[in-house]
Amino acid sequence: MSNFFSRRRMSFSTDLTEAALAQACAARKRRAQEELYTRYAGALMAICLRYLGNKTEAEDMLQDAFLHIFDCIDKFQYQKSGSLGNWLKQVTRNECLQYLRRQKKWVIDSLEDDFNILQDLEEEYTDSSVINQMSVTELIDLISELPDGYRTVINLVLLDGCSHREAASMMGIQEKTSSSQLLRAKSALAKKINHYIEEKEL
Amino acid sequence: MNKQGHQSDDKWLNSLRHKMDGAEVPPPLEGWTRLESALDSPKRGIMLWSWLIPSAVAMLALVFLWNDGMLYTDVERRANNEDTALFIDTPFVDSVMIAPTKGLSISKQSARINYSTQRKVKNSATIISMDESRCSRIAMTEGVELAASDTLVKETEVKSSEQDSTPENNDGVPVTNVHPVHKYTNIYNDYPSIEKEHIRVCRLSLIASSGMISNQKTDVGGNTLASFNPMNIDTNVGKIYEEPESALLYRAKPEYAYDHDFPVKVGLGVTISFAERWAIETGLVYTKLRSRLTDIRDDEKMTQTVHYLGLPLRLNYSWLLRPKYTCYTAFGGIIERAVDARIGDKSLDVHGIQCGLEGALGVQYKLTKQWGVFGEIGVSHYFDDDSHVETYRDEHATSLLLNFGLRLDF
Repeated sequence: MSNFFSRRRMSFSTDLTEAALAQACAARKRRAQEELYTRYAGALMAICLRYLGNKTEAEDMLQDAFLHIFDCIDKFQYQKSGSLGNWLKQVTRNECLQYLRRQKKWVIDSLEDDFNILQDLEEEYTDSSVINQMSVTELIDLISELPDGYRTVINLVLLDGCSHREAASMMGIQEKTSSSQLLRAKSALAKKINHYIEEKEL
Repeated sequence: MNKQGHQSDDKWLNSLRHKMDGAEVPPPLEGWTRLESALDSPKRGIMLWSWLIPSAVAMLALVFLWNDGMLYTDVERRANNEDTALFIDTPFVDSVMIAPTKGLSISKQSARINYSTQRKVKNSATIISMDESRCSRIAMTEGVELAASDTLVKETEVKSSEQDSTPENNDGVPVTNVHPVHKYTNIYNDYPSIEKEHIRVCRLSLIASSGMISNQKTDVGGNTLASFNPMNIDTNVGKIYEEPESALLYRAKPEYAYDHDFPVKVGLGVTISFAERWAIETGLVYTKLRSRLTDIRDDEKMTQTVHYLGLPLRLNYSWLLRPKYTCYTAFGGIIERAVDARIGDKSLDVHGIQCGLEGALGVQYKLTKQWGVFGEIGVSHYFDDDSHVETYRDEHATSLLLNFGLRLDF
C-alpha cells in the first residue's frame, strides 16, 4: 500500500509540466506546492542568499517568498519551458528588494559618488579562469560580504540583467548613482576574489 | 591578476554571470516542513485585520444604534424620537396640534379651529397626549372624516388640584398656579359652537405639520378665536417639544395603494478566511427600495424611495475553487438602517433598525489577488421594523435576494 502511494507521489512529482504544476498550486493542492518547493527551492535560496548576504535572513526570505508565490501563482501565465522558473525568480527577487527597501539597507550618498567615483576609482579586475575554478557557494559568500548597496547593484545589473534605469528605479536612487555604484562594486568584488585566491593558494 | 584590460573585465564578469545563472544553494533542511506549517496557519496579514475589521463594524453598528436612539434612555427616546416620528413620519398626514401652555390655571380650555385644506382627511384620527410625567396615547378617535373647510373643535378640561392666587402670565391674563391635570376629550367634527364664558384660554399653540399641504393655508380662525388672547401658531413641527408636557396631537392618515419594485442590493464586502474554504464576511450593503404610491381617493401618483445601508455578517463556504473564480454558499444576518427616505421631494423619517436573515449562492470573479466582483442569488427574510413607512419588505418579508458588489478577500 505504501508503495502504491509512493509510486503515485513520484508520478505526481515527475510528470507534471510547469503549466500543470502552476495550475495545481493555484488550486492549493498541497502535493503540488511541495513539488514546486522541491524543484525550485535551491535556485530561489541562491537568489535570497546573494541579495541578502545573510543565511538566516535568506532562509526566512525563502519561506516568505514561497508563501507569496503560492498566494499569487494564479497570475502566472505559461509561455515556454523555463518560464515558471523565471517567474519564480522574479517574484523572489522582488520580495528580497522589498525587504531590503523596508530595512533601508542601501543608503547611498550620491554626492560622494559624483565627486569621487570617476576620478579616483582604482579599477580592479580578476581572471575568468579563477571564477571558473571557484564554487557557487564560494562566490556567493564573497558577494555576500559586499556592502548592501554594492551587493544589490551587482545582483540587479550584473547578474540579473537589469538596466541601470531599472535598477535605479527599484532601489530608489538616481541612474547615475547606480552606474557609479556598479563600478565600485565590481572593483570591490574583484579585489575580494583576488584576495580570496591568494589566501587559498597560501 | 590585478589590473588588466577592458576585455578581461568583460571576461571575468561573463564567467561570473554564467556561474551564477542557474546556481543553487541547498535550502534549509526543515524548509518544507516550516513552510507547510506556515501554509496551514492563518494568513499573516489577518492578525491586524482581525482586529481592525470587527472594530470598524462595531463602530458602524454603534453609530447606527445611536442615531436610531436605541441607546437613549426611555424618556429621552420618547421625547426625542417617538413622538417626533409620530408627528412627522408620514408626510401626508394633515396634523394639528393643540398644546395648552404649561401652568395654565384655566379650569376649562376650549379652542375652535378652522382647519382649511383642500385635501380630505379620513380614517383614523389619533389624539396623543403627554402629561408631565410620561408620554402616552390617551385617546383614539376612529372614523373621523374631515372635508375641506371642516371645523375641528377641541375641548380640553383642566381640573385644578389647587388654586392659588398667582400673578398674571405673560399675556396679562390672571393665572392660577396649578399642577395641570389635563383631561382631553375627543375631537369632534362640527363641534357645537363654544360659549364665550367657557373660553378663557390664554394661550394655545397650534402646530400644523408640513408635507404635501405645506403650501396650503392653515389658519386659526373665525371670530370666536379672534377674541382669544394671543395664539401661538406655528407651522414649524420642530417646536412641538417646547412644551411637551401638555401636548395634544391630532393626526389622520390618508390611504395609498402601493406598488413596490424589487429591491436590488449593492455592496462592498470583506471576507476573512479562517480555513481553506471557510470565511467570515462583513461589509457595507446599500439597498434601494422604490415604491409607486397611488392615492386611492384622487389617483394622485407619487414615488417613494427608501435608501438603506446595512451591515451583513455571514459565513461563506466555497465549494468550488478555481484560480479565477469561486462558487460559494453564504448564510448569515444583516442589520440595516434607512439613511434617506423620500416621497417625491419630501423627506421621510424612517427610524428603526431593519434586521434580516439571508442565504445565498454566489459566484466571485477575481479581479486582482484580493479584489473580486460577486453576484449572488438567494432568499432573504426581514423582520418587522415597526416603521410607519410601507416598503417592499412589509409586503414580502421573505423574498428573492439579488446581490452584486465588490469584495476584498483576506
